[in-house]
Amino acid sequence: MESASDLVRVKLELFEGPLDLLLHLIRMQHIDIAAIPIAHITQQYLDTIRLMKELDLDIAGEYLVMAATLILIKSRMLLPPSSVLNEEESPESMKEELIRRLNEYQVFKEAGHHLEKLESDHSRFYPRPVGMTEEETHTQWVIDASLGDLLAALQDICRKHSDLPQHLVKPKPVSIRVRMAAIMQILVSRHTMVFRELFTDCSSRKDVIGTFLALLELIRLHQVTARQRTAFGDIRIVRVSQPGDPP
Amino acid sequence: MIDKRLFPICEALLFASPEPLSADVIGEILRQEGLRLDRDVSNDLESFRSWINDREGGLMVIRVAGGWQLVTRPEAADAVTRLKTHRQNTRFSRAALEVLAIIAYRQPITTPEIEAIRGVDSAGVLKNLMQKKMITLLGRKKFPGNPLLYGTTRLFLKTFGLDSLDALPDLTEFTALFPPGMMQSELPFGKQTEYPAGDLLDRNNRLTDEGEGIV
Repeated sequence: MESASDLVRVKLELFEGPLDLLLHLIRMQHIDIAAIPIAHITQQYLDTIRLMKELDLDIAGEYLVMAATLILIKSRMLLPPSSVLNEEESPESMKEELIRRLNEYQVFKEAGHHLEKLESDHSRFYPRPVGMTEEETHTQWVIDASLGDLLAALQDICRKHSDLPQHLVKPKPVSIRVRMAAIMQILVSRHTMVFRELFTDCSSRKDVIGTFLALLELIRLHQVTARQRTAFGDIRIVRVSQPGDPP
Repeated sequence: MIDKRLFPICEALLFASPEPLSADVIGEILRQEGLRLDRDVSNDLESFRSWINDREGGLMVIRVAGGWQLVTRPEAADAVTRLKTHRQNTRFSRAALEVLAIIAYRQPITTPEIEAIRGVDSAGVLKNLMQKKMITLLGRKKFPGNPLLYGTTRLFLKTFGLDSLDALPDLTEFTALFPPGMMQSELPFGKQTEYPAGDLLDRNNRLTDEGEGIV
């Protein structure tokens, strides 16, 4: 059996934030959002926060900001109306703003539920899985690889090349321009190549870095693009067709 | 009079393509095959879709992410699932679904704007959605600090079975669930929002199917 405090813990962890918690409290009261009894809800909200503290749950700062806002509205409501300086600071407009936020959040929460249903419905349609060989399907490498993907792939290469000497007595200069030309030469004849092929003839870490910089430069100049078939998939370098190319 | 080769060729094209095919691509191939088409290829494709979907086979044609795709019928989904050795896990957390919904409807949108709606830090969720390639960067907002702008991807459309963003229901349909003056207790979903602990734990995959959950 689970203990009662575990049960409460489970429930509290389910809130997505202060707005979610407030919506829950309002629903428990079976009251209209527009008619929130601020004093009452504030008390319940603070009780919940206190409970979370007792349970040693991490309370995100956002929960405390909301607590402060609720207390502010509540205290302003106690003041005589004339003492409030301008319209925006009146408890009514603060409450209106809170209701607006609650309603807006509620809408997107429901939209999120709807998306979940869409995904679950759509997951019942199975398309034919990709079964062609890599060579046949290079046109299907449709996802643009981000800089993050490229860097992750570079780390892989560096790990594999970790046995290469990192310091040469007489370092030979690595020309990025030469590297760029070398990559383009391969791509002119083959149109596409796998990312790690770029580094097969690299004899030092400096070579690897130089080649990678050459690749970034070519991407910047729109000479090549880096593509993936699926997220986290292999990266393939594809030459961008130029105006003068034969069709 | 529709060429009797038209539908079989459409079927073959969709079968051979692992990705949804756009009407433009299908139209171009069909014309190269010398087939006479409607001025709007989509009309021919709609007829083709009825042809496939009405014959009660195991496959059907759907429109998704701006293209046409041949898929197994949902009635056969359980059987096909048995065939799969590992079930692909594309489940999204509640936080991820909220953020995706906000981006889908409000894109291009910045992190602070998303966080203003949710009232909670969303950086981690955004990073995760970026890694899953559900969202992408659309540039920077011309605003002090030049915050990054996010939008949904084509993979998002494919994952949620949407032909385009226009296929999402209007936001007012969700607003209608909360008409002013209506008591919460009268809402149809009032009961479900009690968050049954077991149900949500399952959703987070913290328990196996056999797990008893917390009652």
